[in-house]
Amino acid sequence: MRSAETIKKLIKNTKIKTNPEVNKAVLDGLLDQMDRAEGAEVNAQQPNTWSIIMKSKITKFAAVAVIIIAALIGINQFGGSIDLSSTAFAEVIQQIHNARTATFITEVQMGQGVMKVKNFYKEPGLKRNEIQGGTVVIDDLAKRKAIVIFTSERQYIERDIEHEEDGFFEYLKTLPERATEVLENKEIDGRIVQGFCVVKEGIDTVFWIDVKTNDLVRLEGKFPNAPNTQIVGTNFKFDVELDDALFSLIPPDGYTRKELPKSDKSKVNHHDLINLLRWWATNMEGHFFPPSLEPAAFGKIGMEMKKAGKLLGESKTKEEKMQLMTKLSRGLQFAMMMRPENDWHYAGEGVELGDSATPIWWYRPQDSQTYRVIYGDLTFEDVAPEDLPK
Amino acid sequence: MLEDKLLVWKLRRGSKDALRVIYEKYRDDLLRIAAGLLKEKSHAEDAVHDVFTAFVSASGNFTLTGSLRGYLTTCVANKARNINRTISRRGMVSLDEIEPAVSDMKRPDEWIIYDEQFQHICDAMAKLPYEQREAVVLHIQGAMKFREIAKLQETSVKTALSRYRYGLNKLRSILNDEVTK
Repeated sequence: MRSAETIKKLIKNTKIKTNPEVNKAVLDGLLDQMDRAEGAEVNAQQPNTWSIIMKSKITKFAAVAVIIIAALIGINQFGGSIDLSSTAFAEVIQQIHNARTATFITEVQMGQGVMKVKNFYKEPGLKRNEIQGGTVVIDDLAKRKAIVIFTSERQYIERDIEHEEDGFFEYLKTLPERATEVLENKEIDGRIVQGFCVVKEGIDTVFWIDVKTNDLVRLEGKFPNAPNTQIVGTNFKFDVELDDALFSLIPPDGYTRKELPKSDKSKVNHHDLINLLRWWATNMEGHFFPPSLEPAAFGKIGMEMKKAGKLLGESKTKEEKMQLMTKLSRGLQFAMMMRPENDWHYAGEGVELGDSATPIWWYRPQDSQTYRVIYGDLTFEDVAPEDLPK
Repeated sequence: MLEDKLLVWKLRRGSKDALRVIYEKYRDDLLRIAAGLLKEKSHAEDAVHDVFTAFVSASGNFTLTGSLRGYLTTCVANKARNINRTISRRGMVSLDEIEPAVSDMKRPDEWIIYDEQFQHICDAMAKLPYEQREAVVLHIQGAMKFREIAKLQETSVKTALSRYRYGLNKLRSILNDEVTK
């Protein structure tokens, strides 16, 4: 009598054979699908036409009727009259999707501060960001290596890219060809432009497109998790010649290597947020949690507290400060990563460190049925939705 | 895992070669899982075809958080469940009641080619209650952990483990009975 272990091995080791012609036909179909316009919606409820044609036992006439109906459903889904204004938007998006190279300027506005960056992209996976103040960051995603060059100090840092984190241009490349909203025309730098708003992953992006030339004149990205933060893109150029030397990971001559502070290379998580909250509540007079975790507000309030002499704690060396900055920024990064589907809430204002009864933060981790709640004593637990604070 | 991350990265950027590699790498395993879960071969083929189609559609903004194998296996399992639910709801006359559980006829357009051993196992699987079949297939063929199976079946880990044990015992009994006959 065969044992359970034998049966298990039998099931595991049984090989499958597939029809090579059908393998190729299916793959060709998938490759064709890739060739078609991005953003085409595949309705999971649609009948599988391929299967019906290939496998159905119904008659030829009935099969033809099914094909016609499937096509009609397809037309209803994608059709309607052509909206000329959204063609301009679709053209711009296609240009972004297909661009092998791109250059543009971004201004990141956080509260009162503005940081200007010149951006260069070249497929596959090469990025160069020249940040106002003289810092240059070069990423080579294929090699998973990066270099950060501090031109004013003539120093550089080399690092491995552990986790791929898409930047703004990568995000733009994922946008669909249909806008969520069309805005009224206005004038920018003497050009009449029309606005097209796309909302995706919780980010509102507005494209201002020249009504005559269909050029992208300006782009504005807003983040619901950071209402005082905006990114503005201008001077877009696509498929321009970009020398590979711009993306070289070789440090410039005469520059010295700076050692990267030892950092935690794991993905940010709620423990990082706890570290941040602990640091704030421990080091700020009164030992309360920050009023807000919105980055601009957090930074502004922190500076105000520091100026008012309310930032406690020992003075640290430059290296210690770097380490601390790296550690705390992970906590803020975690808060910024929250999306609407995480249904996150922050209620730490006025709560004192050590208050075990008061929840200060809760969110629903991806794919989780429960919520993770952090309390004022910085313990946490997973809680059913019906047990959440009201 | 790193290879899959790179493949997904390339696929997001429109690499057809990446799609080709992913398809060749996982196609047979996914078909085997679907065939274990679904009695009707054409349904199994449809399920895998639909999963690849949806995957390609979503590839532009797909983010891989776990393993690609796990993700695709879960998609096939969900698809198979939906197909089973649809069949039960419509009260359709299953082809199983008209023909053998797995058709003996080889049509030129068939994707999965059943050999004797594979057919034998699929016939035995078809005799299990769906949840038990699912737990056995996903754990043994899909290499899924019981925690993941429990989440998919919306039950506790303990129940998923019980379903697996009962299913495996029943399979053992079916296959051993056939040997002794």
